[in-house]
Amino acid sequence: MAAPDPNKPSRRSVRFVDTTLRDAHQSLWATRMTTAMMLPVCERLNRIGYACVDFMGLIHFDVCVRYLKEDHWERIRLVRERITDVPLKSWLRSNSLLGFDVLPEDVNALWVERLAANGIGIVCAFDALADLDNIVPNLQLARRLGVKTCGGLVFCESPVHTDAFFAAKAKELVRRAGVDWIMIKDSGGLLGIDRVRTLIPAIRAAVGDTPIELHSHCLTGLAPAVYHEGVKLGVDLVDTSIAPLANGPAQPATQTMVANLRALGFDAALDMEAIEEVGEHFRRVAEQEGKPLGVPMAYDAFHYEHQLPGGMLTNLKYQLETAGLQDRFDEVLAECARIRRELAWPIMVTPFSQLVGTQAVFNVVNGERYKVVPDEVKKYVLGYYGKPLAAVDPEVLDRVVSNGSARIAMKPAAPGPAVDALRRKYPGASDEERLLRFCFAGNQVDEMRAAGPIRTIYGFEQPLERLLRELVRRKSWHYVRLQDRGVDITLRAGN
Amino acid sequence: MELTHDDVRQILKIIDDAAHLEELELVHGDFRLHVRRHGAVERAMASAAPVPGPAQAAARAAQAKTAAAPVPGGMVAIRAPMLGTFYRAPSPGEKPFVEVGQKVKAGETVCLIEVMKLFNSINAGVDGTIAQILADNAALVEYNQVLILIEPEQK
Repeated sequence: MAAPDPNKPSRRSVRFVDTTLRDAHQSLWATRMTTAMMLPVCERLNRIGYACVDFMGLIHFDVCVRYLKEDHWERIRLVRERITDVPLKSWLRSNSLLGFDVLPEDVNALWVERLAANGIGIVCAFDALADLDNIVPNLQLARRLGVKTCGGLVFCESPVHTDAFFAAKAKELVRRAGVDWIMIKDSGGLLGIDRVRTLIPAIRAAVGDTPIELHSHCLTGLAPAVYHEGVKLGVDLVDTSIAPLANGPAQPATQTMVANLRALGFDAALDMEAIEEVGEHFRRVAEQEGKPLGVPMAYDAFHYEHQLPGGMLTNLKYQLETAGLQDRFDEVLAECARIRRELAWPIMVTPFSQLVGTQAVFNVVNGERYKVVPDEVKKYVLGYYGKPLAAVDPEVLDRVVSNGSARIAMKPAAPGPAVDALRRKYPGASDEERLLRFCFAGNQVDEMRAAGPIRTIYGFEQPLERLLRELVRRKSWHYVRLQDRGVDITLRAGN
Repeated sequence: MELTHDDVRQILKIIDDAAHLEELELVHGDFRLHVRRHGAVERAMASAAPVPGPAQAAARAAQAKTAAAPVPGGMVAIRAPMLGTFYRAPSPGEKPFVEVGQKVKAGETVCLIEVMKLFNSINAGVDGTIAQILADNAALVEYNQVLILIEPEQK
């Protein structure tokens, strides 16, 4: 039999995972989409024909509680009441939940159990060091609870991140965790067309019939073409978001992707009318709230060199600016590349992008490399976050160990169980609340509770209406007169 | 010309920047907004709201330089390695690493600086006695700001 022609795929259908409620606003709106903004479109998302609705990343839990003052468990339940037929996805990063440190096994287990109980239908776990020991137990537990599982492989370019490396990890995920899907998670938007042509066949050969999902970001404008090529080579599911909350730093637009894949001869059975309605809703929300829409980005070759996520670049610039050292930005980027090499090629995603970026700033600013060492960098080289992918440069290892905090033990100790203590400490609380208390220090949970239940109604107003309401809300102006084309309103406060 | 949500945001920004003004009147085409802080007072026409300076970066850089205040003779200064948050204890509720008058060894942690969500343990650098703690717990500190003064041990 002749080799299959990638331009004439035998398989004719491709499925879509929607990221509008998760990555689109994480990438474009700093994760600030409220539950009230989501609820009006949930019923439409339910019937569009998605394989899955991506919903809760790790940062979403954090932003819900700290900034939006929303109980994320309640958010999950409210959305699940409306998206009943499509599994909602929640993410697990390593075994550290919302932070960087390894957390007790029983806390991880309770978290997964509560995700399932509150309506999460698929759990996707990844470990940026691809140390699968960190994620296999959680994936196995999710499976036992009847939740679908997805094993994420975070992509980057480096001498250790070869096709063979990813293929072996994919195979191990299928063998050890029995995952339903394998995802290539290109958080940094680094996957190019040449690489996808070798990577997808390598993973396919390793995982047999297990579906492969492709997730990327349009940071250099290439992701739509990478998806297009990936689907030709056998990718089963693609992650897209609904324009105008697509492109830019977010995922490729569902609308364009459907058109492109249909032109290629694929079935993409999605309700395009409902998709347009969802897009229109978020366009109006963006307009009212002053939030940006996704704009396609131009090709940027430099992105592949520094591999830094967009948020990190802005942060580094700011740090240097405050020290009056903005002219040394290029030096810091070059230092990032050098540190990555010395620290055995960590992928530039949380928490490793912060580790590399911060160490680079210290190295440049202090004039002596590894003189100041963040605690997390020392923990990383000592294996606190999992086994580094290769040997750390021995000289650098010495400097990090001797200049880093003496309070960090040379060998990481597995944290002991914590759930029983939590139950004793908060006897009247639900397990959901106990997990909140465990994850958020100080009075953050109380402040969230004080803000009351989640708002479930999102109203659109005319600009004039909003101006008037905002002026009244400010209470500091006792006389307001507003005139505009036949409207003349005067408000006067009583004495 | 129709008022847009973008216009509303800009108008509200002008209004909020005018906290020191008594009265403000804004006219653009058919649109006219007139606000007064008090109901019936003399008219004092508002001047334009202040425009935020474009040279914020330069101002911050200058600020960073002034952070490098003189250090009293004989003292060793512990400085912030980067803009960040200063913490005196390993975690909330725990005892501070050091207090004034306490003797420390060079390799001992005296405080933490949180930079970009990472915690940096700052060592004393010299054997000596804590003479002064100059930053408040959980305060934002500038690059190079003096945080702690240590009186080194006489050799």
